[in-house]
Amino acid sequence: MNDPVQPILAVRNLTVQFPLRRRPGQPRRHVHAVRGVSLDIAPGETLGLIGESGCGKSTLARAIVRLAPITSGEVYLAGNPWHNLPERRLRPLRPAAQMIFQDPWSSLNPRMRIGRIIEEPLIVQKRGDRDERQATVARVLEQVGLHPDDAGKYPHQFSGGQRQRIGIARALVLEPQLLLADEAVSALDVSVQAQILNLLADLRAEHRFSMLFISHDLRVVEQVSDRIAVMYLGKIVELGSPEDVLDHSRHPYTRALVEAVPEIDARGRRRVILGGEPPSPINPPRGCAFAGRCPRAQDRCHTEDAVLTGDDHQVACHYPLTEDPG
Amino acid sequence: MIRVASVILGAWVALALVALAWPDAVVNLDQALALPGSPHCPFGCDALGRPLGRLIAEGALTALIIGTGTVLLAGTAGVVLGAGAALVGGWLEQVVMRITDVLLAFPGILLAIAITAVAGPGRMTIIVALSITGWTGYARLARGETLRLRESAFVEAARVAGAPRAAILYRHILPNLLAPVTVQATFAFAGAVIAESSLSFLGLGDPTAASWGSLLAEGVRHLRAAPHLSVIPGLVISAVVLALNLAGDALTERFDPRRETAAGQPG
Repeated sequence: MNDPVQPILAVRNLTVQFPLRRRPGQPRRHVHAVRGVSLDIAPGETLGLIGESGCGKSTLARAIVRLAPITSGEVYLAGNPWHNLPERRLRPLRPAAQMIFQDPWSSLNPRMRIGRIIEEPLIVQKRGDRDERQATVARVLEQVGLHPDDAGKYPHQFSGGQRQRIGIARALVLEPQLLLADEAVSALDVSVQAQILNLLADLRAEHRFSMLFISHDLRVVEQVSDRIAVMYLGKIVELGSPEDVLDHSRHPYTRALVEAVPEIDARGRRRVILGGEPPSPINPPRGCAFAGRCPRAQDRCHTEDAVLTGDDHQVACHYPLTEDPG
Repeated sequence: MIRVASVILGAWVALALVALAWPDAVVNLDQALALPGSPHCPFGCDALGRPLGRLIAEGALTALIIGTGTVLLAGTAGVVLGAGAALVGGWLEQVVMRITDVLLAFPGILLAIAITAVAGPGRMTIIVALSITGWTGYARLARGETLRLRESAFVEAARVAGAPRAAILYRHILPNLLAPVTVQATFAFAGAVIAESSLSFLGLGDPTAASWGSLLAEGVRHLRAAPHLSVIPGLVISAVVLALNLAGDALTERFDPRRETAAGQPG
């Protein structure tokens, strides 16, 4: 990356491993959830992260905000190292990166009023006095399309889409530089999805935050992202602009993902049929993780892992698809 | 049903309050084993001629004190240990949960009998004896709920905002523990009333105060001459325990989040 602007988020060779219960007579094994991910997000940029469930995309986001333990690697937020700070020193920096959660039903405390839910981050960060905080809450509620009077209600009085708006308001109230949206619209109806995506676009235009937008839904990611990263078994296998990644996919896995989406099927001129399942993250293969399912795999793919290479359009594949296939 | 339960529980508390103001029962051998409806004692008299109504009221007070004491002591200890075990984890969690397993495998009433036999009868002894096994139910519940809540997205959101552990416990975990613990406490209250009656039936109750259990035991001796002496305390115990269980069921339903959702649609 020879970007002259300092990135808001810089992740360097990040790995996350979860230890498994030790079996007698065996060395301790680990789930390799994230296996050496590096990426940058520029100010105001939205990076879309796609991949099937279990590929480690949620864990990556959770590790960035230190909800999941970082095994090795580095995370910098606006140039400040985050990966090695103890919680006490991290706390005052935390407003910079906030998160929107997948499930609008479990992400709001059922015994707290909306106003209190949105005010809590301000209380935790000791921002302003009570009146100032409530004025902020009222303002943010309006920004996400709710009424200031809703502050007195409880979460169960709202629909899924409204609850997701409340979750967004809670994330925005600290004016973060980076918003991590982990499957933020996946639990919603399609029509409500569109409303929330439009809301996020409006808020982005106004507040100019960067976003890591995680989804398994290509159409949603394509709609919001400036760049797209494709993740497979804990690694990024392709990274680039939406046109590059989706229309001119170079990694066979990305191609298979694109062709699995019915609406944009016309893009794929040859259909790649994917058999099998991703390998186990407990015992990842030595070579390319995708080799076992890949129609283009050669002997080398099974023994030697591919590294992400390229400038604007990066791909981790020994035998990438040519720019304009057949 | 909840109305019936409320009336019974209300009458129980009223009776206990009456006992506080009522002068001590006087021995009056002329009235010994008098049947209900006699002028001196409308509910009959015991073998010493004391009015049964007066003794039942005293038993209501005993049951209320011991039940409340046990629920408070066992509930506090159980919630603190269970939630603490879940939050701290590690060896503390292992120790607390293994003790819970052992105590749950052990018949509680037997342990309570052993403790009162050693420590000597008395209200405080019974409360402690019942709490020593009673806290385990709360601890299991509190641990399970805390583990669930700790992983919930709203707790994670609080962590991402930078909330310290104490604030998460106070604002997010304890308020959400309140509903299930209240339900548990209601059922445990019924259990404590039965346990107290059983102990005093066996002669291990507080000898200075009348108890429904000791009245029942006393009445059994005069079952033919004065059946009311055992029937009335027996019915009182059954009614109170039934009312507590009904109240527990009602609370379970009341705290069901699905019910809350249905009741609180916007509009």
